[in-house]
Amino acid sequence: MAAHDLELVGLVVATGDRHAFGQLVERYQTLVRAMLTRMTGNHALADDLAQEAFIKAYRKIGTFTGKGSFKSWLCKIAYTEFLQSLRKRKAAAAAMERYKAHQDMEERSAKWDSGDAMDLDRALAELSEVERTVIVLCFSSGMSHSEAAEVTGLPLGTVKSHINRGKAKMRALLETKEAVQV
Amino acid sequence: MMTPEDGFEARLRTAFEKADANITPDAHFTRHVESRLGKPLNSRTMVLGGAGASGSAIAASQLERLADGLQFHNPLLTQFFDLVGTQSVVAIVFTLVAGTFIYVLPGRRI
Repeated sequence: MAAHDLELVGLVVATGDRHAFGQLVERYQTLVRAMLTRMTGNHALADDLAQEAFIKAYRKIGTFTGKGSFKSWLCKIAYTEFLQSLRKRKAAAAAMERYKAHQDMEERSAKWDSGDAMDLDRALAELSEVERTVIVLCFSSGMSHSEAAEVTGLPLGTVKSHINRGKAKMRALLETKEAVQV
Repeated sequence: MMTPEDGFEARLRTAFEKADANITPDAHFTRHVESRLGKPLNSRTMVLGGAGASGSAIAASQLERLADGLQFHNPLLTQFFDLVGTQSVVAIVFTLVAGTFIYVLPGRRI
């Protein structure tokens, strides 16, 4: 039987067991990489940020109190990593990043042979940073509104507003595209 | 009864599931993270190492006189100090102390 998250965390805190932490990485890497891929629109950058997030999680694991879920705690670290990277990339590099992200998305969609991911990423790119974040947390990472509020540090009501606005924008974008295709 | 809003949410979830299905567990990713665990930052290691080595060198040079005054009842210990030299023994001890600092301070867990 697979060990519970808290058992593995306890083992890492008590003994620094890298193998136990490796099991947590195995368990959550898909979630974190998917979340960051949707947030950044760039597969390679998302993987780099995910690695940094896991390494920071290992170093800070003693601060995990077990109050919330390990998943939320880890996603909060990944979200902070994303924000820090965003700040670094902003200003002059922003235009280049968007261009690169767009290229990356096109490459991926060609490789994956699926239009869904590309449409989704394009629609996500039209949202504001915070709208994209809460939409990804709730619809991709499967978090509740409360968990998304915990990860982003926003009040619950604000999270709900951003989700509604983000959903309305995505609906308009995706349904307009469908109407054009028909 | 399902509202149009619920229907869109369900479609959105499905779209994310399909898009995220391309991101599969990667053993190389896990191995890479594990290999980087516990490795302190190079700059931090260098600063700590430098400080530790300097401290050890100063301490070793100052404590040589103190060690010279020590009397050992154990002949083996006396012979060892005579062979290696007091200064070398003190330097080895302080190098070990400095090494422990370098290992522990950057956040490595024993």
